[in-house]
Amino acid sequence: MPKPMPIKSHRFRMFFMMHRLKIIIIFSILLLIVFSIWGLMSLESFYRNMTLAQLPISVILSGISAAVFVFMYLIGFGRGLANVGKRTIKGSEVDVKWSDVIGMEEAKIEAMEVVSLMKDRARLKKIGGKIVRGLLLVGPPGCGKTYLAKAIATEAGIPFIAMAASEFNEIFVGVGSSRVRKLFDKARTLAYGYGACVLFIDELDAIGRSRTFNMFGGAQETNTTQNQLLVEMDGLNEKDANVIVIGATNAAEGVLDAALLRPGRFDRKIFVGRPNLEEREKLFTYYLGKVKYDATIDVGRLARKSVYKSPADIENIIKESALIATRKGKDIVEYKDLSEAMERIDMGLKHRVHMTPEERKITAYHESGHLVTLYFLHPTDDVFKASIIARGEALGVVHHQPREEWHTDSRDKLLADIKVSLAGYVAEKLKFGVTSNGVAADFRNAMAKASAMVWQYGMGTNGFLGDYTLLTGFTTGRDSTNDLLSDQLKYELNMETNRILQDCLKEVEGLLKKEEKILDRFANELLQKEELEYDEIEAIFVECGKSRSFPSPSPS
Amino acid sequence: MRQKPVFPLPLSFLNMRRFFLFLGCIFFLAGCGPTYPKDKLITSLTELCKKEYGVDVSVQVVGKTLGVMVPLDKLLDSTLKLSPDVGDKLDGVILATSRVVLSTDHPLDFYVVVAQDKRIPGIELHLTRYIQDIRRLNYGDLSRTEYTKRMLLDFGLGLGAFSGKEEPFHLEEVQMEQFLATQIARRMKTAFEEEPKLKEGLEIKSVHGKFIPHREASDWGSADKRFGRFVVTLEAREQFIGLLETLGKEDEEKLLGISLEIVLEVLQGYHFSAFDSVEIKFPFIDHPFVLGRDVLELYRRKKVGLAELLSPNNFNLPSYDAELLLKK
Repeated sequence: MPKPMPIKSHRFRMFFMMHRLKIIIIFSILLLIVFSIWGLMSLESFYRNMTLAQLPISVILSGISAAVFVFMYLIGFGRGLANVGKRTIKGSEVDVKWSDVIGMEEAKIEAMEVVSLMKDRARLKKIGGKIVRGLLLVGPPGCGKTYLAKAIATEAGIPFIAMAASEFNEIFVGVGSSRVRKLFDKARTLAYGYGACVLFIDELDAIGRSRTFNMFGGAQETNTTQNQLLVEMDGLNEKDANVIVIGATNAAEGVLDAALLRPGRFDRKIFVGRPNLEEREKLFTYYLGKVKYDATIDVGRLARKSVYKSPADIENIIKESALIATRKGKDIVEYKDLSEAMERIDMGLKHRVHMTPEERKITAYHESGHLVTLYFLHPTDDVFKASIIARGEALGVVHHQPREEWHTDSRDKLLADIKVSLAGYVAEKLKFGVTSNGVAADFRNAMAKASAMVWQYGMGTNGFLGDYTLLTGFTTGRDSTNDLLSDQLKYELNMETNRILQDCLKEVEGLLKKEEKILDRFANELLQKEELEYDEIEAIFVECGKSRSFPSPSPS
Repeated sequence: MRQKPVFPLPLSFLNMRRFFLFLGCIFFLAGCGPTYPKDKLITSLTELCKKEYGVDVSVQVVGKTLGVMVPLDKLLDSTLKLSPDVGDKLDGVILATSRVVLSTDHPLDFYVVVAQDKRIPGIELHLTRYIQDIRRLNYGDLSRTEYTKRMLLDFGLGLGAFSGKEEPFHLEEVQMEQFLATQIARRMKTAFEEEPKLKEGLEIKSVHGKFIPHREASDWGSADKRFGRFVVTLEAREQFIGLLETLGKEDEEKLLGISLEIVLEVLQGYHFSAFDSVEIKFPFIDHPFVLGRDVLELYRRKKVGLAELLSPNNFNLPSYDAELLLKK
């Protein structure tokens, strides 16, 4: 790692620029001390001794006065003083290298390119290229945007100033823009001394939202802060200061002000998304390396089980599993602890709800219905766990996840989701002849999907194509009397929705009747064990000589 | 990552802890050493008076007393009052003397400033101060009024402590006991002059105070064996002598009460306990009041009252023996 060294000819001036206030204060104190000594020496010994004897009490009194002042200030201005030290986060202790950045390969490659541009600035200028002034890291929370920014600063070997955008805002008008100015001044000073400086603004959307212009001036302060940011970024002259601003946000691109995103400001965007299977494997290996774990743990399986999880989620799973293992008095983290941690994060904490034997049996069949249907009919998902222990509002749960990321849902997948949702109802009806209101959440899910298939995705069989929700009064913002859909059309769309539900219902009924034995088996297993893991479930299906019957997954 | 800047200045020199320690040492060393050391005391004061106030003075130290003789061309004006321009010069000399005695390492207890008229050397103004009183005034431990009361100021012919004709002049060391005795007498005189409740027409002409060491007296009895006795004598004007005979019991109590308060105030104020008894001689009472230190303490604590002290039965007791007094 190249250690940044200030440019020799600029060293003294930069030192003065950076420590101007400190130098003035120290100089003033020295001057006061010298004058005090001078004054004391000119006193006759009696008066000198008297003055010196009063010093300790003066110091104590000054301390008390200062404490009273600080107390009153804090009372009067809330976090007034507390903010002073927090305005900038020193990145001097941050040491994140490219090798530490895992689970975001594409973003990393782009970031490396930016870093090489920063380093080869002179060469770039010779060619006539333009230096990157702003870099926007966009992506879902917990995917490592801040981490990537730290890595950029470390690898570029230049000073790093970090600040959260929310810290710009204060109750006082004008404070935001003043802080932006000070921050950029500081960045420029460092850039003057070191050749470049990275200024990282986290949660940029706090000040970067699209400006609003209204007569009431409610958002005036935010606008002013953002305007200052625009001016500072645009006002950067690469001849004077090489300040690279890195912004990070979870907000969609449309949320940020267009002026911020134009070339010359945040002119390069890096999308830091959720990791894929391979990246998740790397992440699990990396974070498991920080705890003691069972060497037999199948990391690939963990990666498959954690589809759509962010790096932060994966880190959290490992931390939680270490806590669970510690609580159980184990020395190492085992697969079961990881599974429990994942389940605790996904499904919430278990809590014992007293159920009558009859209700417990109904719950067991309900969950078994979901399980069997999912196993046989779902094209993309695997069952990872079935349980009849209550969690949150649910009395039981079948936890399933896709084997691999799908960024679109096929018709088969949607139909399978509906079937799985209806399976609990079918199982209850099949075994007990009556059903319970425990199906409410399942029906809500099934109905929403069936309705979306017909109304929005054109997946009905009656020939209607298009997103009909756009033509309803509710969606267009007009009242329902003015919507553009006829009652007849709505009727036909709703009938198609119902037909999908009915078809799915029939199919599930057929399946569960056909596989009643295995349904009974799973219900009994659940009644006995309360929970079944992926391995146990697979073993039972194999034991019963069953295999999946869904067609191979393919997006529509 | 923001790196720690490489400081271009020699910060090892500016090692703050060491630097401030160094400054602290200088700061406190600045308080060491007297401004007017013992061996240069007389010269310093003489030069200071000459330099700052243009007055030639003679200075002498005897024991723990510093004496300053200020010969002035015209101490008194034609009306025999202090000349107006004398005041400034005298104030300057007194101030200079106070400064010097406060900032010297010579162990001094008193200073005496004597202003003498060059024309009539017998006319003198004496000012005596206890140096600890000046310190306490500076510390805010004494009020200005009390400070003034503690100063002895004498004005008259041939007061005796100095003799200006001699070179160097003769100075007597001020003794604490004598200083206190005189102060008690002065305070009593002032108190009786200001006291409106005394019998109309009664006027105390003078009050004399002195301290008699026990070795100089043989008839005091067993109580006065260690230190000695304060003797305060009050004298009334002759024309009022007849009036004194008409004093009643109440007046006696008042006179004795005022006197004892002053005695206690002075002795307590100086934390002085090196005495055996206090004798007060009133002009209108045949026998003197002699109170032992213990009795005085009992009176201070209000264990005995004035009526008991004035009771004729108690006069026969040797020095108002405290034990016997309490038994009665």
